[in-house]
Amino acid sequence: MLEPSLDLYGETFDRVDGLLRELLAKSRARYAMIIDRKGFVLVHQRALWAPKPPSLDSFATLIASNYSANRAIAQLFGEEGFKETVQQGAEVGTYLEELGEAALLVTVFDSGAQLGRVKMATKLAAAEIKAVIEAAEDPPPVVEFDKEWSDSTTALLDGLFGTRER
Amino acid sequence: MSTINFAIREINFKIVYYGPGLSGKTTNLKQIYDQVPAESKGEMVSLATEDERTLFFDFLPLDLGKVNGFKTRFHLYTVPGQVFYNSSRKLILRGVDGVVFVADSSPDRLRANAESLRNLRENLQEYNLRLAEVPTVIQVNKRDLPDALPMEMLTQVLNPEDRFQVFEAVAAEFKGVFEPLRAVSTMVLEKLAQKA
Repeated sequence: MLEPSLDLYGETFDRVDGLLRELLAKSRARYAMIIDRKGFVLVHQRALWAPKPPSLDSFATLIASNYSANRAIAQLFGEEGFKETVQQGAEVGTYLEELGEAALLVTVFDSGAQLGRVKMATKLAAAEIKAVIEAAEDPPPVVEFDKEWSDSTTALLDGLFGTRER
Repeated sequence: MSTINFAIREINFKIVYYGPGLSGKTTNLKQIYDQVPAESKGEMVSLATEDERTLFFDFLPLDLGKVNGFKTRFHLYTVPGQVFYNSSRKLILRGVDGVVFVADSSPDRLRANAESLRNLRENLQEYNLRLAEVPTVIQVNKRDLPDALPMEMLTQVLNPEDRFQVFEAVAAEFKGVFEPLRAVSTMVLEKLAQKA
Protein backbone atom coordinates (compact mmCIF):
# COMPACT_ATOMS: atom_id res chain seq x y z
CA MET A 1 0.00 0.00 0.00
CA LEU A 2 1.34 3.38 -0.99
CA GLU A 3 1.18 6.09 1.60
CA PRO A 4 1.14 9.64 0.24
CA SER A 5 2.23 12.13 2.88
CA LEU A 6 -0.99 14.05 2.32
CA ASP A 7 -3.87 12.94 0.12
CA LEU A 8 -4.62 15.82 -2.23
CA TYR A 9 -6.46 14.91 -5.40
CA GLY A 10 -9.77 15.32 -7.16
CA GLU A 11 -12.34 17.55 -5.48
CA THR A 12 -10.21 17.95 -2.35
CA PHE A 13 -7.31 19.23 -4.43
CA ASP A 14 -9.59 21.68 -6.27
CA ARG A 15 -11.01 23.06 -3.03
CA VAL A 16 -7.57 23.43 -1.44
CA ASP A 17 -6.31 25.08 -4.61
CA GLY A 18 -9.22 27.54 -4.40
CA LEU A 19 -8.43 28.27 -0.74
CA LEU A 20 -4.84 29.11 -1.67
CA ARG A 21 -6.11 31.57 -4.30
CA GLU A 22 -8.40 33.15 -1.68
CA LEU A 23 -5.47 33.36 0.72
CA LEU A 24 -3.43 35.28 -1.85
CA ALA A 25 -6.30 37.67 -2.51
CA LYS A 26 -6.97 38.33 1.19
CA SER A 27 -3.35 38.62 2.29
CA ARG A 28 -1.95 40.34 -0.82
CA ALA A 29 0.92 37.87 -0.64
CA ARG A 30 2.95 36.76 -3.67
CA TYR A 31 2.84 32.99 -3.32
CA ALA A 32 1.12 30.39 -1.18
CA MET A 33 2.02 26.73 -1.15
CA ILE A 34 1.56 23.50 0.70
CA ILE A 35 4.64 21.35 1.13
CA ASP A 36 5.10 18.09 2.95
CA ARG A 37 7.55 17.86 5.81
CA LYS A 38 10.11 16.13 3.61
CA GLY A 39 10.26 19.24 1.44
CA PHE A 40 8.16 18.22 -1.57
CA VAL A 41 5.72 20.76 -3.05
CA LEU A 42 2.15 19.42 -3.02
CA VAL A 43 0.27 22.43 -4.39
CA HIS A 44 1.15 26.06 -5.01
CA GLN A 45 -0.42 29.29 -6.21
CA ARG A 46 1.07 32.56 -7.39
CA ALA A 47 -0.62 35.99 -7.44
CA LEU A 48 -1.22 37.24 -10.98
CA TRP A 49 0.99 40.28 -10.41
CA ALA A 50 3.81 38.42 -8.64
CA PRO A 51 7.22 37.93 -10.26
CA LYS A 52 8.34 34.44 -11.21
CA PRO A 53 9.18 32.56 -8.03
CA PRO A 54 12.61 31.05 -7.34
CA SER A 55 13.11 27.29 -7.73
CA LEU A 56 10.20 25.74 -5.85
CA ASP A 57 12.19 22.56 -5.13
CA SER A 58 14.95 24.52 -3.42
CA PHE A 59 12.49 26.75 -1.62
CA ALA A 60 10.37 23.88 -0.31
CA THR A 61 13.43 21.90 0.78
CA LEU A 62 14.85 24.84 2.68
CA ILE A 63 11.50 25.70 4.30
CA ALA A 64 10.93 22.11 5.45
CA SER A 65 14.50 21.79 6.73
CA ASN A 66 14.30 25.12 8.50
CA TYR A 67 11.00 24.09 10.08
CA SER A 68 12.53 20.81 11.28
CA ALA A 69 15.57 22.62 12.67
CA ASN A 70 13.41 25.18 14.49
CA ARG A 71 11.27 22.42 15.94
CA ALA A 72 14.41 20.62 17.16
CA ILE A 73 15.60 23.87 18.78
CA ALA A 74 12.24 24.29 20.54
CA GLN A 75 12.40 20.71 21.78
CA LEU A 76 15.80 21.40 23.37
CA PHE A 77 13.86 23.69 25.70
CA GLY A 78 11.04 21.26 26.33
CA GLU A 79 8.68 22.90 23.85
CA GLU A 80 6.80 20.87 21.23
CA GLY A 81 7.63 23.51 18.62
CA PHE A 82 7.56 27.25 18.09
CA LYS A 83 4.09 28.73 17.67
CA GLU A 84 5.06 31.02 14.83
CA THR A 85 7.69 30.90 12.13
CA VAL A 86 8.08 34.28 10.49
CA GLN A 87 11.04 35.46 8.44
CA GLN A 88 11.31 39.02 7.23
CA GLY A 89 13.89 40.54 4.95
CA ALA A 90 14.06 44.11 3.63
CA GLU A 91 11.60 43.27 0.86
CA VAL A 92 10.38 39.70 1.19
CA GLY A 93 9.16 37.56 4.07
CA THR A 94 7.70 34.12 4.70
CA TYR A 95 5.08 32.94 7.15
CA LEU A 96 4.41 29.33 7.99
CA GLU A 97 1.52 27.40 9.54
CA GLU A 98 1.37 23.69 10.28
CA LEU A 99 -1.23 21.55 8.53
CA GLY A 100 -1.46 18.65 10.95
CA GLU A 101 1.47 16.26 11.15
CA ALA A 102 2.02 15.85 7.43
CA ALA A 103 2.36 19.23 5.79
CA LEU A 104 3.07 22.95 6.04
CA LEU A 105 1.31 25.98 4.58
CA VAL A 106 3.76 28.70 3.53
CA THR A 107 2.95 32.25 2.47
CA VAL A 108 5.56 34.45 0.79
CA PHE A 109 4.87 38.18 0.94
CA ASP A 110 6.61 41.43 0.16
CA SER A 111 6.53 44.98 1.51
CA GLY A 112 3.18 45.56 -0.23
CA ALA A 113 1.48 43.26 2.29
CA GLN A 114 0.99 43.82 6.01
CA LEU A 115 2.42 41.09 8.22
CA GLY A 116 -0.63 41.11 10.49
CA ARG A 117 -2.94 40.58 7.54
CA VAL A 118 -0.71 37.81 6.16
CA LYS A 119 -0.70 36.02 9.51
CA MET A 120 -4.45 36.26 9.97
CA ALA A 121 -5.28 35.15 6.42
CA THR A 122 -2.79 32.27 6.60
CA LYS A 123 -4.12 31.05 9.95
CA LEU A 124 -7.69 31.13 8.63
CA ALA A 125 -6.69 29.36 5.41
CA ALA A 126 -4.80 26.69 7.39
CA ALA A 127 -7.89 25.97 9.49
CA GLU A 128 -10.10 25.75 6.39
CA ILE A 129 -7.63 23.55 4.52
CA LYS A 130 -7.34 21.18 7.47
CA ALA A 131 -11.13 20.93 7.61
CA VAL A 132 -11.33 20.18 3.88
CA ILE A 133 -8.66 17.48 4.13
CA GLU A 134 -10.27 15.89 7.19
CA ALA A 135 -13.66 15.85 5.48
CA ALA A 136 -12.33 14.22 2.32
CA GLU A 137 -13.97 10.85 1.84
CA ASP A 138 -12.76 9.66 -1.54
CA PRO A 139 -10.13 6.91 -1.31
CA PRO A 140 -6.78 7.62 -2.99
CA PRO A 141 -6.64 6.65 -6.65
CA VAL A 142 -5.23 3.21 -7.38
CA VAL A 143 -2.00 3.41 -9.35
CA GLU A 144 -0.02 0.44 -10.61
CA PHE A 145 3.70 0.73 -9.98
CA ASP A 146 4.74 -2.65 -11.32
CA LYS A 147 8.02 -4.19 -12.49
CA GLU A 148 7.54 -2.74 -15.97
CA TRP A 149 7.21 0.74 -14.49
CA SER A 150 10.30 0.16 -12.35
CA ASP A 151 12.32 -1.02 -15.39
CA SER A 152 11.15 1.91 -17.52
CA THR A 153 12.12 4.38 -14.81
CA THR A 154 15.57 2.79 -14.42
CA ALA A 155 16.01 3.15 -18.19
CA LEU A 156 15.26 6.87 -17.84
CA LEU A 157 17.94 7.07 -15.18
CA ASP A 158 20.42 5.37 -17.52
CA GLY A 159 19.44 7.83 -20.24
CA LEU A 160 20.15 10.71 -17.90
CA PHE A 161 23.76 9.64 -17.61
CA GLY A 162 24.09 8.55 -21.22
CA THR A 163 24.65 4.92 -20.27
CA ARG A 164 21.58 3.34 -21.80
CA GLU A 165 23.65 1.48 -24.39
CA ARG A 166 26.13 0.12 -21.90
CA MET B 1 8.58 6.85 2.07
CA SER B 2 8.11 8.19 -1.45
CA THR B 3 5.78 11.15 -1.93
CA ILE B 4 3.10 10.59 -4.55
CA ASN B 5 1.24 13.65 -5.74
CA PHE B 6 -1.82 12.27 -7.48
CA ALA B 7 -3.17 15.68 -8.44
CA ILE B 8 -0.20 16.64 -10.59
CA ARG B 9 0.80 13.01 -11.27
CA GLU B 10 4.25 13.16 -9.79
CA ILE B 11 6.24 10.72 -7.69
CA ASN B 12 9.21 11.82 -5.65
CA PHE B 13 11.97 9.85 -3.97
CA LYS B 14 14.54 10.95 -1.42
CA ILE B 15 18.06 9.52 -1.61
CA VAL B 16 20.55 10.44 1.12
CA TYR B 17 24.34 10.29 0.82
CA TYR B 18 25.66 9.36 4.25
CA GLY B 19 29.19 8.79 5.54
CA PRO B 20 32.04 10.22 7.59
CA GLY B 21 33.35 13.74 7.18
CA LEU B 22 35.40 14.37 4.03
CA SER B 23 34.53 11.02 2.48
CA GLY B 24 33.24 12.72 -0.68
CA LYS B 25 29.46 13.01 -0.32
CA THR B 26 29.29 16.58 -1.62
CA THR B 27 31.74 15.67 -4.40
CA ASN B 28 29.29 12.99 -5.56
CA LEU B 29 26.48 15.52 -5.84
CA LYS B 30 28.69 18.06 -7.60
CA GLN B 31 29.78 15.46 -10.14
CA ILE B 32 26.19 14.38 -10.75
CA TYR B 33 25.20 18.02 -11.17
CA ASP B 34 27.97 18.50 -13.76
CA GLN B 35 26.99 15.39 -15.74
CA VAL B 36 23.22 15.77 -15.90
CA PRO B 37 21.71 17.91 -18.69
CA ALA B 38 20.26 21.24 -17.58
CA GLU B 39 16.67 20.30 -18.36
CA SER B 40 16.85 17.30 -16.00
CA LYS B 41 18.17 19.01 -12.91
CA GLY B 42 17.24 21.82 -10.58
CA GLU B 43 19.46 24.15 -8.63
CA MET B 44 22.00 22.56 -6.33
CA VAL B 45 21.71 24.01 -2.85
CA SER B 46 24.64 23.73 -0.43
CA LEU B 47 24.46 24.86 3.17
CA ALA B 48 28.16 24.89 4.00
CA THR B 49 30.57 26.61 6.33
CA GLU B 50 33.08 29.19 5.11
CA ASP B 51 35.66 26.47 4.58
CA GLU B 52 33.19 24.52 2.42
CA ARG B 53 32.38 21.80 4.93
CA THR B 54 28.74 20.76 4.83
CA LEU B 55 26.91 22.46 7.69
CA PHE B 56 23.35 21.20 7.18
CA PHE B 57 22.97 19.50 3.79
CA ASP B 58 23.49 19.65 0.03
CA PHE B 59 20.44 19.19 -2.16
CA LEU B 60 20.07 18.33 -5.83
CA PRO B 61 16.72 17.56 -7.53
CA LEU B 62 16.78 15.28 -10.60
CA ASP B 63 13.89 14.99 -13.02
CA LEU B 64 13.82 11.66 -14.85
CA GLY B 65 10.79 12.23 -17.06
CA LYS B 66 7.42 10.49 -17.31
CA VAL B 67 6.52 6.83 -17.05
CA ASN B 68 2.86 5.76 -17.27
CA GLY B 69 1.88 9.42 -17.06
CA PHE B 70 3.73 9.95 -13.77
CA LYS B 71 6.64 12.35 -13.62
CA THR B 72 9.42 10.71 -11.61
CA ARG B 73 11.83 12.78 -9.57
CA PHE B 74 14.73 12.01 -7.25
CA HIS B 75 15.82 14.43 -4.56
CA LEU B 76 19.43 13.81 -3.59
CA TYR B 77 20.72 14.99 -0.21
CA THR B 78 24.01 14.77 1.62
CA VAL B 79 24.37 14.91 5.38
CA PRO B 80 27.13 16.75 7.26
CA GLY B 81 29.70 14.08 8.09
CA GLN B 82 31.36 15.69 11.06
CA VAL B 83 30.49 13.89 14.29
CA PHE B 84 29.06 16.93 16.10
CA TYR B 85 26.38 17.58 13.46
CA ASN B 86 24.31 14.57 14.41
CA SER B 87 21.12 16.56 14.99
CA SER B 88 21.24 17.71 11.38
CA ARG B 89 21.86 14.18 10.12
CA LYS B 90 18.78 12.93 11.95
CA LEU B 91 16.58 15.63 10.44
CA ILE B 92 17.75 14.90 6.92
CA LEU B 93 16.96 11.19 7.22
CA ARG B 94 13.28 12.00 7.66
CA GLY B 95 11.35 10.31 4.84
CA VAL B 96 14.45 8.70 3.32
CA ASP B 97 13.82 6.18 0.53
CA GLY B 98 17.40 5.05 -0.11
CA VAL B 99 20.95 5.56 1.17
CA VAL B 100 24.33 5.72 -0.54
CA PHE B 101 26.90 5.21 2.20
CA VAL B 102 30.12 6.91 1.10
CA ALA B 103 33.13 5.30 2.78
CA ASP B 104 36.64 6.75 2.79
CA SER B 105 39.59 4.57 1.69
CA SER B 106 42.14 6.61 3.66
CA PRO B 107 44.08 4.40 6.12
CA ASP B 108 43.23 6.60 9.08
CA ARG B 109 39.47 6.64 8.35
CA LEU B 110 38.57 3.01 8.92
CA ARG B 111 37.18 3.67 12.37
CA ALA B 112 35.35 6.82 11.18
CA ASN B 113 33.67 4.73 8.46
CA ALA B 114 32.53 2.14 10.99
CA GLU B 115 31.30 4.78 13.43
CA SER B 116 29.38 6.59 10.71
CA LEU B 117 27.65 3.37 9.64
CA ARG B 118 26.72 2.68 13.26
CA ASN B 119 25.47 6.25 13.54
CA LEU B 120 23.31 5.72 10.43
CA ARG B 121 21.74 2.65 12.05
CA GLU B 122 21.04 4.59 15.27
CA ASN B 123 19.55 7.57 13.47
CA LEU B 124 17.29 5.39 11.33
CA GLN B 125 15.98 3.84 14.52
CA GLU B 126 14.73 7.29 15.51
CA TYR B 127 12.25 6.89 12.62
CA ASN B 128 11.55 3.26 13.54
CA LEU B 129 13.52 2.07 10.53
CA ARG B 130 16.11 -0.68 10.38
CA LEU B 131 19.03 -0.37 7.98
CA ALA B 132 18.07 -3.74 6.49
CA GLU B 133 14.67 -2.26 5.50
CA VAL B 134 16.09 0.79 3.71
CA PRO B 135 17.60 0.28 0.24
CA THR B 136 21.29 0.94 0.85
CA VAL B 137 24.50 0.61 -1.13
CA ILE B 138 28.11 1.33 -0.17
CA GLN B 139 30.43 3.44 -2.29
CA VAL B 140 34.09 3.05 -1.30
CA ASN B 141 35.57 6.35 -2.40
CA LYS B 142 39.11 7.62 -2.96
CA ARG B 143 40.36 4.35 -4.45
CA ASP B 144 43.12 6.33 -6.18
CA LEU B 145 44.94 7.03 -2.91
CA PRO B 146 48.38 5.40 -3.02
CA ASP B 147 47.88 4.05 0.51
CA ALA B 148 44.19 3.20 0.12
CA LEU B 149 42.97 0.52 2.48
CA PRO B 150 42.45 -2.87 0.82
CA MET B 151 38.86 -3.51 -0.25
CA GLU B 152 38.84 -6.76 1.72
CA MET B 153 39.54 -4.89 4.94
CA LEU B 154 36.86 -2.28 4.27
CA THR B 155 34.22 -4.80 3.34
CA GLN B 156 35.03 -6.90 6.41
CA VAL B 157 34.32 -3.88 8.58
CA LEU B 158 31.41 -2.31 6.69
CA ASN B 159 29.77 -5.27 5.04
CA PRO B 160 30.77 -8.44 6.91
CA GLU B 161 27.55 -10.26 6.02
CA ASP B 162 27.65 -9.19 2.38
CA ARG B 163 24.27 -7.46 2.68
CA PHE B 164 25.05 -4.43 0.56
CA GLN B 165 26.18 -3.89 -3.00
CA VAL B 166 29.63 -2.28 -2.85
CA PHE B 167 31.11 0.04 -5.48
CA GLU B 168 34.66 1.34 -5.77
CA ALA B 169 34.92 5.00 -6.72
CA VAL B 170 37.06 8.01 -7.37
CA ALA B 171 34.23 10.50 -7.07
CA ALA B 172 36.39 13.51 -7.90
CA GLU B 173 36.86 11.99 -11.38
CA PHE B 174 33.24 10.77 -11.73
CA LYS B 175 34.46 7.17 -11.50
CA GLY B 176 31.95 5.01 -9.65
CA VAL B 177 29.55 7.90 -9.02
CA PHE B 178 26.65 6.86 -11.23
CA GLU B 179 26.69 3.14 -10.47
CA PRO B 180 25.76 3.36 -6.76
CA LEU B 181 23.08 5.94 -7.52
CA ARG B 182 21.63 3.68 -10.19
CA ALA B 183 21.79 0.67 -7.89
CA VAL B 184 20.06 2.33 -4.95
CA SER B 185 17.46 3.95 -7.23
CA THR B 186 16.66 0.58 -8.77
CA MET B 187 16.24 -0.92 -5.30
CA VAL B 188 13.94 1.96 -4.29
CA LEU B 189 11.83 1.58 -7.44
CA GLU B 190 11.59 -2.20 -7.06
CA LYS B 191 10.57 -1.82 -3.42
CA LEU B 192 7.73 0.48 -4.44
CA ALA B 193 6.73 -1.87 -7.26
CA GLN B 194 6.57 -4.76 -4.78
CA LYS B 195 4.40 -2.75 -2.39
CA ALA B 196 1.93 -1.59 -5.00
